[in-house]
Amino acid sequence: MKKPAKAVVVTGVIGEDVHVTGIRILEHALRSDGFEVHSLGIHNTQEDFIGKASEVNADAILMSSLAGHAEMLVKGFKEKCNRAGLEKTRLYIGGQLVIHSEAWEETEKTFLDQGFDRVAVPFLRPGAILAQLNRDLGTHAVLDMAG
Amino acid sequence: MEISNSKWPDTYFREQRDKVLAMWPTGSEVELGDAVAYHKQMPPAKNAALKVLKARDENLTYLCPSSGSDTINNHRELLIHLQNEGEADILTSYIDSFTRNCRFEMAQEGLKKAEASGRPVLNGFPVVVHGVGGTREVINALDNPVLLFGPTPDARLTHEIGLAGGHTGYSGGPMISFWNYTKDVPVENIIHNFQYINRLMGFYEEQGIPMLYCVSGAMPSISPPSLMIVPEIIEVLIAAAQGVKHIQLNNWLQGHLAQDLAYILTFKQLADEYLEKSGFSDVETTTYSVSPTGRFPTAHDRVYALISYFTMTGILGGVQVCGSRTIDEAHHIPTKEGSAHSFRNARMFLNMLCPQHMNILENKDVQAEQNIMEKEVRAVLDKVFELGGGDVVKGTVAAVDMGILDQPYATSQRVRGKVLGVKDSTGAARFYDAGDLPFDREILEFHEEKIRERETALNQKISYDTIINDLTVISEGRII
Repeated sequence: MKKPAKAVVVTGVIGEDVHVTGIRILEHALRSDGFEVHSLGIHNTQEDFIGKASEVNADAILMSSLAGHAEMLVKGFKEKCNRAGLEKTRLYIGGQLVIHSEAWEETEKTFLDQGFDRVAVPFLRPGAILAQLNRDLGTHAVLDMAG
Repeated sequence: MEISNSKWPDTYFREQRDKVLAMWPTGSEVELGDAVAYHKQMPPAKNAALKVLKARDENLTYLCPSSGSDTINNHRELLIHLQNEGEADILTSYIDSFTRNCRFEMAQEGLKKAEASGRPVLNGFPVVVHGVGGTREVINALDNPVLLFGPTPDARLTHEIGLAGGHTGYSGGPMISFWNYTKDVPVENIIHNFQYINRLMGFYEEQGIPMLYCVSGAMPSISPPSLMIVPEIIEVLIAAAQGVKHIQLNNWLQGHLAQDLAYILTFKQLADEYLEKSGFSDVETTTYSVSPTGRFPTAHDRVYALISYFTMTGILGGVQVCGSRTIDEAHHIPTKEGSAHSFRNARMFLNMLCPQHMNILENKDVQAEQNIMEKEVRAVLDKVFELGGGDVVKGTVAAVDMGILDQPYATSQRVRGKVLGVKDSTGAARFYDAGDLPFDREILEFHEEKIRERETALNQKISYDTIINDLTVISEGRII
């Protein structure tokens, strides 16, 4: 018998973006750490994330964007999640979120204001993301991560 | 028609052609009798398949850049520059991404903008929009052969027009297009589209026009070479079943000399063996090597060293054709001047090394790599045949579903994505996770041992951080 997953997450890249390496490594790390991962891959809309998260009753959505258009792409996402009954689903975003150069605190604030729970600084490693996710969800780390 | 690795009946091919030629108005320009006559009046030196056979017979290595521009003028000037200033022996028409996704109206719009502004707008040559006549304007201006270039799930109309327009081959394939260029297209649909392309090439072969089909399997990302060789041999067997007679085997060089040389040897040996076993003993195979896309150094001096290094590997491996990255592609789409500099650099290296015919292929490190690689390829391929009841196409469809055929970092959601590579302490690619690949204890223990050696050298466990570093370390100036 397979052990039940400790938590359910939905992962994917939003928008017309083909960068897949980062999210694929993170998905591998999440599975190794005992999460049930529902991967949406590349080219997703807000509705794709919400549809999948509702279907699987996700504890968290981990969204990636590398093309720098994230602010436009996630506008209204939190409200739509709430309307879909996903008030408790935690929202995470990471990647290259903006095109222009600005202080990280400003970028982080932009996305926190949009209703995301956590905003991953560029080049944050999978180990740090897993640790944060485990803390937020009250789950125990399975992987012994060096990073 | 249920998909299998059988040659398409003529009636089925004709029905399919009617549909494909109707996809865009230039489809009506294709007339196969005229196309065959056009190819027959071209000098043999402009045929890619004949040219690489000559290289094989005379122990030569040729150079082939991959490049393409949008307007007839831009593309013609680019290829003339690469031929005359870059000393390239075989040229390519890299197809723009709108055309590769069959968005011909967008390609047309981009082409109009490029023609109006005089500046390139598209990222390649929109062969379908240019039609047969436009394509021949480019081909007629050149002395060297030209290949169509670029993986895509549906290059059927591109081939109808591109081959009738005078191209004598194509580089791409169903498996690489599936893993790395789609999100949600079933592998059987892509194989079907490639059976069309392969049958069309088979038709030209039947008329006495050799066509060079270049397979490329999968894009590597610290991938043990069996991850590329298996899908490449599948592409070879699909092509041979439709009548393709000249196949170029693409070897993706990742930088570890013994492993890269073993790749070239193992792939050629097993491709020929599986062709023979499947009853296709009249197929000619030749070899090609290139370093994969992926992050490259930004400093020109470092890139020149890498171009030389990868050219050397290809020559030592005895390939007929070397491709290369270019000095400026870490910054932007390569310019014709940057490409010419890069290929003259490769040419100098080639001119020094090629006539020496040095044999280092019996080196014991190369042989050790060959030994394990061969076992891996056989384990997976034989399982694919078993799943298909002897039919490689049916087996492929089942094996993708089961994760027996798998890739790291695929764009397709239909790929299991469990396998993951990491470098060992010498920089060779090993399985960090072999997923559901049907490997025996011996193979798994080999990789585990190599990973333990790296951990000892690092004095820590391999983590995802190690893998991420391995993916980008060459751009920072080192193999490991």
